[in-house]
This record gives sequence, structure tokens and C-alpha cells, in this order.
Amino acid sequence: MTTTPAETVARRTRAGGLLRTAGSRLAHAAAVIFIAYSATFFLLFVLPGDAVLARIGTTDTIGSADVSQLNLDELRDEVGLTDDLGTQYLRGLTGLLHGDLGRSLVTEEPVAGMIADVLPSTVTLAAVSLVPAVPLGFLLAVLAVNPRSRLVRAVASLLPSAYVSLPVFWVGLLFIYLFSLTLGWFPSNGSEEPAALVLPATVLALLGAAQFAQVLISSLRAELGASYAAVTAPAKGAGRFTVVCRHCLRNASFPFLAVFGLRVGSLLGGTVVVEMVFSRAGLGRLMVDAVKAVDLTVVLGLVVVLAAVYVVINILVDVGYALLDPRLRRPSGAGAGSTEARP
Amino acid sequence: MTEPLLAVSELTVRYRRGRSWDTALDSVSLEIPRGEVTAVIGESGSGKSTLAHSVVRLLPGNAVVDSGRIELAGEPLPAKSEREFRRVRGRRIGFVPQDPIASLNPTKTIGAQLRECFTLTGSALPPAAVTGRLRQDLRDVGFADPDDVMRRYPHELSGGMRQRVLVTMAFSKRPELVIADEPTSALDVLVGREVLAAIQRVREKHSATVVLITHDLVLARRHASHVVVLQRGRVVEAGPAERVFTEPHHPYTASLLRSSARVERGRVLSIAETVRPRQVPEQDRHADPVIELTGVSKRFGPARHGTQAVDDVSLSVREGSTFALVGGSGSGKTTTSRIILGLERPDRGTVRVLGQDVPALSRKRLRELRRHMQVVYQSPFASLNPRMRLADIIAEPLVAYRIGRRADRRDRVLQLLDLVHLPASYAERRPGELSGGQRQRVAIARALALNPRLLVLDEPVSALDATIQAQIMALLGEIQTALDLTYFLITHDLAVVAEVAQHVAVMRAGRLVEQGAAADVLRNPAHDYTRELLAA
Repeated sequence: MTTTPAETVARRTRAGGLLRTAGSRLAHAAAVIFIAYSATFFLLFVLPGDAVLARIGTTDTIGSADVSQLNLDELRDEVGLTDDLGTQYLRGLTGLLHGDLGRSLVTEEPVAGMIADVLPSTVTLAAVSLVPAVPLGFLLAVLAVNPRSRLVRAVASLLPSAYVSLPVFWVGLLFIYLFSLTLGWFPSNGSEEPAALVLPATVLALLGAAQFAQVLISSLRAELGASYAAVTAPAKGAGRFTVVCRHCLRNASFPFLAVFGLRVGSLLGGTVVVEMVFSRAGLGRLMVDAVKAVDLTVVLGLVVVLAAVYVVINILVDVGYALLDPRLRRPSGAGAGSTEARP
Repeated sequence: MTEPLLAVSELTVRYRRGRSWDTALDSVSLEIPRGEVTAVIGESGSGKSTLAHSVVRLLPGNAVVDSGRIELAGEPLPAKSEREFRRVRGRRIGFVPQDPIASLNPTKTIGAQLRECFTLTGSALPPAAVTGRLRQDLRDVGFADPDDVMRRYPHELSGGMRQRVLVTMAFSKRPELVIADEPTSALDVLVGREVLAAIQRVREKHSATVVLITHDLVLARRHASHVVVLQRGRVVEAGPAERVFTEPHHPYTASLLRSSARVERGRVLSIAETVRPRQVPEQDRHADPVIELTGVSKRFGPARHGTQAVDDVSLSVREGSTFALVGGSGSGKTTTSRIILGLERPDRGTVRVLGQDVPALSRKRLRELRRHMQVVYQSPFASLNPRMRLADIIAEPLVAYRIGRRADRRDRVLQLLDLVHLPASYAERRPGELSGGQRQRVAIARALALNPRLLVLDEPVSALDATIQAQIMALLGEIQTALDLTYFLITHDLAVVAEVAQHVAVMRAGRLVEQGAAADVLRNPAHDYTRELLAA
């Protein structure tokens, strides 16, 4: 294959541009994680109390020992809480740079290990709930715009908004009552056996599908009103379904991508309610427990992990945009006039 | 006359608007002769687009066809089944839409969208034959390298190129009838002319019948052999173009013809013949220029791949006169106006407006200067906030500059409405209740609120119907005389210039190719590009 010099230059500049983009992305990611870490660190110090006090408040960690005999300062010294703020901050940051998230101030377990223990349960739940949520969301959206029956369209476009407005814990309790206590089909709690995954995953999948359907319905309606879908395609002989599926669905999924990214993030860090209702271990629950115990290192470790996850998701969403939209891949202007010919 | 290709009888179409109904077509009957170009003309709101969309049955959801019969080549079009009707679209009737920018799917290549014409209609042609035929079709509409076009995405083509792609689509299945709905109204004059030439070429090659929906009488006179005139949903006149343009039977047709400066006794006048600029009073001749640009250049983008938007432009605008900057899209005329308004910083050259050195002004001083120079934008639909009352829209500049009390502002609004010939009762209305021409009047009133000395008019009439264009230009002339204003007019259409400007500069690819007194430039153009524009 032969290439003209112009093409080679274009390719080289494109490769250079790619490197530059990747570099700035990495710097951006590092900055996001650093800022999230620092903000959390200093915010936590504003909270009253510390890990030592929290520990005393919970008898199970102290046992039956007499509280009055404990020297609080000695305990604080043990976990490094007596050092001044700057030293603690720098220590944490240095550890972070070495990939060390430190140890829990309460249980003295390594934070990385604690996170690794609950991560599989969270990731499984997130993945299992997302897999049906995406096609279900698209199905609802197509049903909301395509069928001739006005009733079907109305129902399909109302369902998502209705479901989104139900509180998750209420739906969760309802599911437990119905499918676990009454019908006895699935266990209501636990994170070990696969069957225990069914109910929480269903609750979250329906919520995800409803959120996806909401954005898809509004963007599909907008696309269907655009001239290419309302006039050009039908004028070529396309039916409504062809217009929706072959022309509009792809263009309508740009806002969906953004919501999808947010959804993945919230599934990893923000499913604490579902975890509580179904008594599952997970990142969200670990976070709530750590905040309650003022377990600084665990909270910081979780924040770093979640910030990294968000950064990665954002990059993936941007890559998705570029794959879906040729206008981002091939900005206009590059030789747009070269095929222009005067007859 | 032989048997017509398309016969519409007693067609009534209504739109639901909230609780009430608007009748768009009122028992319309017409016949389209086979093998010719028929122009359907009328102002906006006359129902001509509804007529076009009714024939291919692509009416919006709130439209209801009450009665009527449409026959294509003697047989009625299927009235009920959408499935049956799909066999007609594309195969027997092609359609060229109005807006080429929104009418192509942005995420599919041109080739894929063209090939769809064949796959959707279940064509028996093998893919290779389809590509070969599309290649030839694209060449017919003026693309030198069809394969390259087919690989491209819509955003990589200009508006005129996209419209020619849409023409290719409409003719791809060799339909008997092609309906073109305002195919050039979103395009520059020169580009529009190319698109119409392309339509004419393929029409003759495939001996198709074309219905041309347009508000442009010049276009209709030049391209159609048959004319149907619509007024408020009724056909007021139909017949051979020659006859309708020379001796219109209906008074509405006659008034329509009178409103166009370029069509006279059935003949299209050249732009030079319509030159009649207003004389600027002698005492103003030696006044200081209101705008003075010297050697202004502006480049966008990186050094190698960027574009030189404005290249060494020098011009000077005398007080009380109208200066017209003419050029196609991408010629740099809008960038020039943005430099004058201080919205863009020139790379080189000096910009003096009302005696001030614009690029050197501080933000505060620039804000002061903007009191004296105001802008009227092209689209009266996008430039007015639909949620605001007209009174608030017009008073907005007064509020922004904290001028007057509430009562004073109200008086000023009424005064301004009167100046642009809108009734005072309109103060309480919202833009949605107004026609395009009325909205542009509101935009003019808003621009005049601060008593500016200079108005920058950025394509003030190009989004409007021909008849409305004439009215708005007349209004602008009247206001200029009354308030002693200076106009800096930006347009792609030399026809607009002929009636109002004393001075014309023609811009192409960032450079001024010609400038001088309007009468000289329009009557004796020195540059080829000006001659081309004049011929449009």
C-alpha cells in the first residue's frame, strides 16, 4: 500500500496527538485522586471525635477492660494520631505513592486487604445488575417511541419515571417480603451463595434500566424529530422501526453513555442501602462503617479506590463517545472542500 | 394538456394546536403536469410545505387529513396502510428536504445512507451494481470524486454538497415524481444555484417530474414551467409560468409579484437593474468614518492547518450610510463583524469604531462603546428568548445599562414598538405568537432601545420569505432616515444590497476582492466573483 507524504504526516500528527491526549489524561487522573484524597483527609479532621474515642464507644473492640484505666493519649500515640496534621497528611500521601493504603485505626488490619475482601461482592452485584439493565433500558425506550399503540407507548414511557421515584429500601423490603418470606424462592440475605445475589441484583437492575430508559426516551424523541429521521429516512422508504433502530438509537445513546458511567460509579460506591437491606458485604457498607468509626485510613483508602474507578469510567465513556460519534473522531475542516467540483 | 402525473383534489389538512385547530390546507385541488417543473409558491404559512408533506404523507403528529384524494399517474395513493404507502416513497416519489444540515444522519457515512435507498426498498440490484450506479449519480450532481464522498460523514461536507447528496438520494430509485421542499432556502445564493442546476440536470436525464416548493419568485420564474400560487391554504391561481408571471389573474398573485423588486412583467431583472440606493445628504460626506479598518487580519487554528478568516481587510464606513459586506458562507464576513464589535481580537491591523481603538479598549470602555453599536442577528427564531414577553425583550438593553425607571422603560418600549410598526398590544405577547417577520421587527426594536449610532445587521432578512424581506428592508431604510443611523450590513445576497447600500465590499476567502460605490460595483463589476454573485 502506498501512502502519500501528506497522509504520513497526518498519521504522525494523529499519533502524536494521541500520546499527548493520553499523557494529559493520566495527569488529570492523578490530580483527581490527589484532590479527592486531600479534601477527604482535611474534612475528616473537622469531624468531632477520633478513632480512639470511637473504639472505646464500642465494647467489642475493648472487651470488658475498665475504660478508666486506659490512657487515651497512649492509644492515640500508638496509631499515630498525636502527630501534627501535616505529618499525618504527608505520611498518608507517601504511603499512597508506594501503593500502601495503611492499616485500619480500629481493627489494625491492612486497608487494602479489607477492601479486597468486600470488592468481589460489590463488583459481582454491580456487573450482574448492569448486564440486564442495559438491554432492558433500550427495550423500554424503543417501546416508548415505536409501537403504534398509544397505550403501549404511554406505559413504557411512564414506567421508568415511576420506578425511579420509589425508594430503593422500600422496593428491597417488598422484594424480600414477596420472594423470600412469602414465596421462599430466594434467600433474603448473605453475600456468599449465588442465589442471594438475585434479589439485590434485580432491585438494582430495574433501577438502572429505569434510569437508562429515561434518558434514552427523551433523546430518542429528540432524534426522531430531527429532519434526517422525520423526513429523509421515511422518504427513502424506511418504516418507523428501521428509523428508530438503524438511525436514531445510536445517535440517541450519547446522553445514555454519560448516565451509564455515572451508574457504574454509583453501583460501586453508593449501594449501601441495598447492602444494608439484603445484609451484604460491600464497599458502600464498609465506607459507612468506617465513617462511623472515624477510621481515617479506611475512609481514605476507599476514597482513593473510588476516585480511581471514576477516572477510569470517565475515560471509557469518552472512548465510547469517540467510537459512536464520527464528528469527534474526524473533526470537520480537514479537506472538506477537496471533493467540491463545479459542474 | 395531457393527463397530469399528480392530481390532488379537495385536500384539507388541519393542525391541532392545544384545543383549537388550524386549517393549513383548505380543500386544495391541483394538477401537476408530467415531465415538467411545477413551482408551488406562497408566503410562509400558506400551506405549501404541508402540501408537499401530504403527498409523501410525512406530516407531523398533530396533523390530520380531513378529506381529499391524491392520485399518482391515474391511480389513487393508498389511503390507509402505512406499509403499502412505504412502497410509494422512495420508489415512485422522491423528496428533497429543506435543511441539508439536519437531514443527514450525522453518524453514518454518505455511502451507507445512499445505499439504504436500495436496501430499504428491497432492490434486486447486487451491491456492486448499486455502488456503480450511485457513483454515476453522484457524478451527475457535480461530485468529481464520488468514492471519496461516499466514505465521508455528513459533517465533512458543506451545506451545498449535503444538499446535492440529498438530491442524489431522491432520484436514486428513478421516481416519476420528485418533490423539493425549499431546497435552497438554507443555502447561499451561489450554492443554491448549483443545487438547482443539479436538480435540473438529473431531472432531464431521468425525465422525472419535479415539484419545487419555494417562496422565491426569481427561482420559480427561472426554473418552473408551471406555477401554483397558494394563499392561506387555498390555491388562488395555477397555470403556465409564462402566463401567471405576465398577466396574473388573482389580485394576490399580482401583489406577490409587485412585492418582489426583481420580477417585473414576467421577466427576472438583473440585480444591476434594481439598484436604487438612497442618497446620503451631502453635508455628511466629509464626516469622520464610523468604522475604519486598516489591514485587519485574523487567523483561526494552528499555523499550518488553520484558516485565514480575515486577510488584510481595509474599509471605511461613512456616517449615515449603509455599507454592505457581501460574500458566501466561510468568506470571513461574520468574523469581520465580530472584530468590529470587539468580540474577536484581530492579529494585525487597526480597528476604529466611533473614534475608539476597539482592540485596545478595556472591558468597561468596550461596554460603554457597545451602547452605541448594536446588532440584529440572522435568525429571528433563535435570537429571542421564547419565555420572555416582548416588552421585557425590548427593554433588556435598558435594564442591562440601568437606564430609566420602570415606567420610563415601559414608555420607551411602546415608542420602539411603534417605530417598527407593531401594535402596542404586542408588548404582552411572547415570541411564539409572532411570525418570522414580526420577530425580526422585535429584534430591531431591541437593537434600537439604547439609541445606538451604528447597527450591525448580520443577514437580517435571509431567514425570511421574499415578500417579508422587502418589508423588513423598507423598515430598516425608514428607520435609518428617521434616526440618522449608520448600517453595517452583512449578507450573501447581492439582491438585498441593491436597494439599500451606498457602498459595497465583496469578500471571498477572507479578502476583499472588490469595493466601491454600490451603483458602480453592481453595474460594472470588476471581479469575476462579483459577476458570479450578480448572475445568481
